[in-house]
Amino acid sequence: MKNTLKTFAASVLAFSSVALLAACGGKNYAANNKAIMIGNSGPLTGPYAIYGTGVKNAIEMAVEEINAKQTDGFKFSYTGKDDQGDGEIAAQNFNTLYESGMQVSLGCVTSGACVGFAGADENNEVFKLTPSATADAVYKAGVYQMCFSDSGQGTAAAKYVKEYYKGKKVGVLYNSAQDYSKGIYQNFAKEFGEANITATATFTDDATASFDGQVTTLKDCDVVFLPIYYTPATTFIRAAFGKIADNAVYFGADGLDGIDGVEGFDVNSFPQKISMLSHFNAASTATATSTFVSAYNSKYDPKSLNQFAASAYDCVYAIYGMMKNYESKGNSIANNIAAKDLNAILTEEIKTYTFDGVTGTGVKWNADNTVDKTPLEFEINPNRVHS
Amino acid sequence: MPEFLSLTLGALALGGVYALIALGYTMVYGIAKMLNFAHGDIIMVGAYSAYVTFMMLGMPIWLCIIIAVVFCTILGIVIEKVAYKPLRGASPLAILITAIGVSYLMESIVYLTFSSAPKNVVLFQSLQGNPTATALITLGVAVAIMVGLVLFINYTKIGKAMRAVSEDRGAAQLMGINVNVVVMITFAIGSALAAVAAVFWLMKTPLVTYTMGSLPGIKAFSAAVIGGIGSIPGAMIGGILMGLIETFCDAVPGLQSYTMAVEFAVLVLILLVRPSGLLGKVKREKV
Repeated sequence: MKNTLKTFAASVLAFSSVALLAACGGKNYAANNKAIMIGNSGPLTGPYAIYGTGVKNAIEMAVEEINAKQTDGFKFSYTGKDDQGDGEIAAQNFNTLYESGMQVSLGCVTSGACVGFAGADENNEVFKLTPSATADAVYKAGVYQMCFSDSGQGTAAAKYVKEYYKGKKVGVLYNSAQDYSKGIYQNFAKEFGEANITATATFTDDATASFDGQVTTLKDCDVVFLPIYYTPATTFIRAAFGKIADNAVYFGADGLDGIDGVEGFDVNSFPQKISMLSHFNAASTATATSTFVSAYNSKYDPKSLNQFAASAYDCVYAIYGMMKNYESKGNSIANNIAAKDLNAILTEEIKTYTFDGVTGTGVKWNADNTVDKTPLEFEINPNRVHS
Repeated sequence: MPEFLSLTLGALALGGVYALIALGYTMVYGIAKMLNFAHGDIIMVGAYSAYVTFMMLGMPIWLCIIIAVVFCTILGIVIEKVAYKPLRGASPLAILITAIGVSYLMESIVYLTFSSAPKNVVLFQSLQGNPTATALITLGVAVAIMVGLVLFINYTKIGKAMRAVSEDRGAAQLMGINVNVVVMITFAIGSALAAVAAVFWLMKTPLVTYTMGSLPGIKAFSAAVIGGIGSIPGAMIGGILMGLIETFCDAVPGLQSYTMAVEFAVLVLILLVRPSGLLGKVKREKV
């Protein structure tokens, strides 16, 4: 009798551990889903809330539009979580979303959070395409990007300048003591060709008082690439006033975003064009953009519309497009497909997929998860004084 | 305008500002025998005072300058009374650390009040893109203040008392000089100079942030040491030298990344050759 009890106990134990192991190997939490659940995590409260809110609205809008189109076959549902831009909260959000049946994900809105979010997906079971996390660590963590990566900005800017400012004298000003600035410069120089850059000026402290010397170096340039933050950029643009030609162009990367918000610095009071690399321009007349912008503005607060929202809208459509491509090959995708099965499909499809959307046409993805698309030049001071 | 001349004018304007800041350092060191590391942050407070009065309240420029000078003077006196006076007998190291503490305290208060967002305070719109006027005004004011200080110290009663305190504090006290009042006046003058420096700093670079005082503070302090700390004409020469080195290094593409290295290398070289600075008094130690 004793032996029988022992055997029974042992077999129960053995059975339960097998069941436990099986669960670890990837459970289909989506087995009961009535629609394919898209999950994301982003700042909905705190200082970056403006970014997360735009993304959330745009995903909701895209999901609604797609569901209206999909009269039969799969549908989408969306659940978003607040991470306040924090990596640890984002990691918890991943687990919560995953266990509630998330099948595909838009990752996170901000870079630090996105790395935490991807880290929580230990077995890389969920497909992730982020609209806005730019850090190189993001694509290295296995997350596909819809926006340019930090290092990709340098390459994209060089391509843009080569094409649109052909034959112009191009100069660069960067902070040689800062990884962000130096990193973009190096990629820019590699793509553009160091020999093709007319003049390169550097500085080592964003609090530099006088850019007189640097202005002298760059004074004959038609285009000055500024992969620096907006604070030193204000000092430089002031110092160059009257010394660099009035019709010159200051072209920056995303570090210049916010220069029009510096109190006491009126971007329109300078004759030179101040612009930055972007992939979205709300004022664009392209059909895809204007349709998106008017639909968004009629539904949500226009103040929350930014490049993050546009990019998130594109992410949903890109995922949808890849799934339709897969189905067009004679397959079908069920609403309760396991996250890892959908991940396998999308990872395969993205290799050959070309996407046309609001933030770019002919968009492709590189083998390292970064995006390959044509950059736009976003003009920061369209109402500048002309002298 | 020829490039060289334009660069020289820019360098002189920057040097003039460094000189104004260095004058404050050298005054306080010469008389109170302490390094006031919070001096750079008084400049920052002066700049924020201009931001509040000029940009937020829209006052006329002359009133803004007066308010900045008065506010910084009072601030200097308060700092001296609260932080440095109780340490009059303490070791120089304790006073130095306290000064660094005061510096961080001021930065934090400004950060919490005004956030970290940078601001541009353009006091003199008409001087934008006019390096000649900027340089002449800055240099003129710096020289005038320097001459005024030399006259004040040499020919007034308080000036005489200051020199006496500088020479031998104990003996001065025995002769009936109120050392506390003398040190207080020194701090008041030093802080007023910081406010004037803030105005000229904004004329050169209107960027206002809560950390804006630290880098010019260190450079102007080096300028004061190059010129010979405690020497008023020395601070002037050191400041202008610093402005020239900085601007001309910045104009050479290969050297731009090493501008600060060159500035401080010059400091080291001068100290190696003349340990008490260019115009510093050589003290003979009697054994």
